[in-house]
Amino acid sequence: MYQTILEWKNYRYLKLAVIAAIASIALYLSQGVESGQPPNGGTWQGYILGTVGALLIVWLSLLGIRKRRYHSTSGTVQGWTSAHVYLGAILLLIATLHCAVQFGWNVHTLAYGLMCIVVFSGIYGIYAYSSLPAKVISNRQNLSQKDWQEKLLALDKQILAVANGCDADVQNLVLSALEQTRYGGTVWTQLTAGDGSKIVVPPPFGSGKRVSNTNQDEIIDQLAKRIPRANKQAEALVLNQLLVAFGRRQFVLQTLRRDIQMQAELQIWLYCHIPLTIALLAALVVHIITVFIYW
Amino acid sequence: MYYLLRKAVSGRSNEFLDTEIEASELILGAGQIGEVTSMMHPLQFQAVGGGQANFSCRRGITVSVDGKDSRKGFVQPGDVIVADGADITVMLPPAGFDFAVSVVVKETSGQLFQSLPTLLSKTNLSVRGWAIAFALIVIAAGLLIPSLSLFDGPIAKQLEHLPLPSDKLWSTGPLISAHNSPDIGDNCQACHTEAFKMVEDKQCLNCHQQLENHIDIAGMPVSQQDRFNHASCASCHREHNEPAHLIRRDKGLCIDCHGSISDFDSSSKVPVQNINGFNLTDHPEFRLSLLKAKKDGEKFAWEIERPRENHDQLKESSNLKFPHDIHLNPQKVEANVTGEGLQCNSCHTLENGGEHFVPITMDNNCRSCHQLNFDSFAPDLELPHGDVPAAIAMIEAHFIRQFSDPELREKRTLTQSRRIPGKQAVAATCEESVLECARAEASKEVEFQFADTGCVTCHEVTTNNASDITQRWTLSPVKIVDDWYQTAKFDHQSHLSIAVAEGNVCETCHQVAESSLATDINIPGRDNCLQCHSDTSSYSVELDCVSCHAYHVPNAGLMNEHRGVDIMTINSREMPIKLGDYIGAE
Repeated sequence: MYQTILEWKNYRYLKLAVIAAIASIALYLSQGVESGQPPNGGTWQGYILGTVGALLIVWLSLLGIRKRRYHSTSGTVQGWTSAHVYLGAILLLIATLHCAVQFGWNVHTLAYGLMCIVVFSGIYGIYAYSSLPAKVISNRQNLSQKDWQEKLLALDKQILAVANGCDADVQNLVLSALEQTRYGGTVWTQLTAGDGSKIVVPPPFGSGKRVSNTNQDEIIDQLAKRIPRANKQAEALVLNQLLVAFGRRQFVLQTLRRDIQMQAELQIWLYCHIPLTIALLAALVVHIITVFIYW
Repeated sequence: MYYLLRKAVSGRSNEFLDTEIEASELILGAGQIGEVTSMMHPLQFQAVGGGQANFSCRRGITVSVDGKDSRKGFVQPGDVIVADGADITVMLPPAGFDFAVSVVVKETSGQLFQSLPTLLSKTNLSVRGWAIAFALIVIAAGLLIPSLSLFDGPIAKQLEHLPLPSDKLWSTGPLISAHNSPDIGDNCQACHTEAFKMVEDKQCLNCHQQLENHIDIAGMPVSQQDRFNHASCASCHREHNEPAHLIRRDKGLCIDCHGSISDFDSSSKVPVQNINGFNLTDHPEFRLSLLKAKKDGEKFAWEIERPRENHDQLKESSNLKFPHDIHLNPQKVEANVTGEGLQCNSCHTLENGGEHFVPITMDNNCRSCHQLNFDSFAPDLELPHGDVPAAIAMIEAHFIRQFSDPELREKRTLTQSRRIPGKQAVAATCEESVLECARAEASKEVEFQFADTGCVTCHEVTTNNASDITQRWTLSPVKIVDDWYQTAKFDHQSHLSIAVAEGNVCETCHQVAESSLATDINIPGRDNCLQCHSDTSSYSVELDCVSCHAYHVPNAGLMNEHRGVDIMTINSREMPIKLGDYIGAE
């Protein structure tokens, strides 16, 4: 029976995380009774919470190594990932109790802040992995991205063939729209499904300068304008064919951009999660060393 | 400028598409104004007239012009430029154009537009690069650069003035306001003198040189001194707390020792009792500090005794006679100014500290009602207070003068004096000699003062029945306890709000309205405080040991001496705080 990483072994690590949470809260509350000072990382309870938190961070970081050791016998990757998720989430609580919600402009809060970003990016990752794949498949209609790119290529060839029967003005227009089509690109463009497509519309219908052709709207608009002005029935038919083809092209490009966007959404958190995990490990070392430099 | 861009139609080598471009420069390339999808690196032309133009590529990119590679140069009609992705021929521009090129795109994948990254991994995002960069920034800014503060060299001094991360980034919390001065708050090493070593007592005593100890450790057996040798300043005082406060407030602060202190000092005259909290079972009754008159031959002194007995078994022995009940009864005593009954604050004035009261004195508190005049013929003449021989001498001198002056003697004979309440009726006539009359009258007055209702009203008077009246009477010295709980502190001011009815604020705790004797002890004990502060009650007002007790007590010796810190050694180091900086050295 298939189990998600969240349900792994009948929620084994969720239960472990709940126990850890209760123990941490109890330990934290014991500071208020007879600790002699306000709850903080310097009490014996604070040291325990801090040590547990630091060990958890190091262990959670090892998932990246475990994933790459295919011959490892230290548990399954699914088990590790399930533990990674729940124990990573509980780290938020343990670290918050360790520092007793005391923040400042210092290296200690830096470590805490990095940890929060790492954990929240991980939580986003869980959301992305659980919700986006179905949407990706639905958007692609069971085809691959490469299939859609080939569809676009075939469509472009078809458009060029049709455009060859037009006058130079329409040919220029169509070629410009095809040549200046864009999908993908920068990180931002991928994440926002940005469309930087341009087109040069020569006079008298345009200025002769590059203008936006986002969502192929401009070329479709230009073709639509030209149909009523066609001198011949044949020209109108060709223009109409082009219009239909660009309408189809519009849909293919939308599908591709949405696919790129969802792929980016699936990946982007790792670009935050992993580098900041390394930064967090560095900050953790700095935190521990500096606490004892000025003991 | 008008540029003409001619491109070969895909799949038809003899057909071209012309694009007219109006711009200051013509840039060929993917995504450029002169769109040539296959050219990844833009190539820029600027027409100079006659169909000629200057061209340039980005730094590091070259094109071949008539077989010669160059990044920038000059072209004219007929020149052929071989660029990455396209062959460009400079044409003679048609009329109306300043520059014209014909572009033949080199066939690539068949896709007409530029391929852009469709995966984040194909962009300039790099997990490893960012990871290394972030980690290095954290270590450099959080550890390495601030570590320069640990060194005292010239480079560290130079860096102090630069806007670089400092060791203040290592602070784990705020300092208390008293320590948050520029010399300490901005200088971690005022206290943290050595890396990886806890702050030592000498860093505290460096400034707090006059701080007194808990008890006189020098007077303790050496074996028991060890208990104190393990206690550092940091055992009780913790900095960098949030919220900022310096003194531990937990019970463990005191009961770690006082919980088993009865095992600690068996040599004490009054056995010490264990304290494990503030409630009926864990805290003993408060020990009053009572004054006892001690007379050793001619020497007289007041000594403080702190008996263990319950308060109702104890008496104050101030040698004063004073009934609180009469003085607080408006039917019997009225203030001589307002005519209203006396209030507690008619006599008791709280000092600024809020704990103690201004000492009661005859002149400040009693004399306004209890004048010491004694002769109705000289109502303004008062006896000196506090000096028995002088008072007796004054009485004698007064009556000698009265009877030796014929006018005064006649006046006394002729005038029926008005009797002063509480004073004896002075004899109006005397047929004996001046000295005899005066001495007889003086003797009567002295007897009256010391035996009936004069001095004896307030003072304990004893007589030896000597014939010489100057030697016959002795007044016991008076001293009222001014600090009933010497080892504790109490804020009257904060407790004045708990009056249960108007006008009896003090009587909420001090039951003086029923007190008829000065020996009554009207100071509340433990039970009174436990009504609100018992730590076993669910409704207790929080109270910790240091709310009432101080660790550093007077006459216990200086902390410096116990810690073995040589003051001269301390002073030889640079003081973090120079008092002159704050109080102005003049």
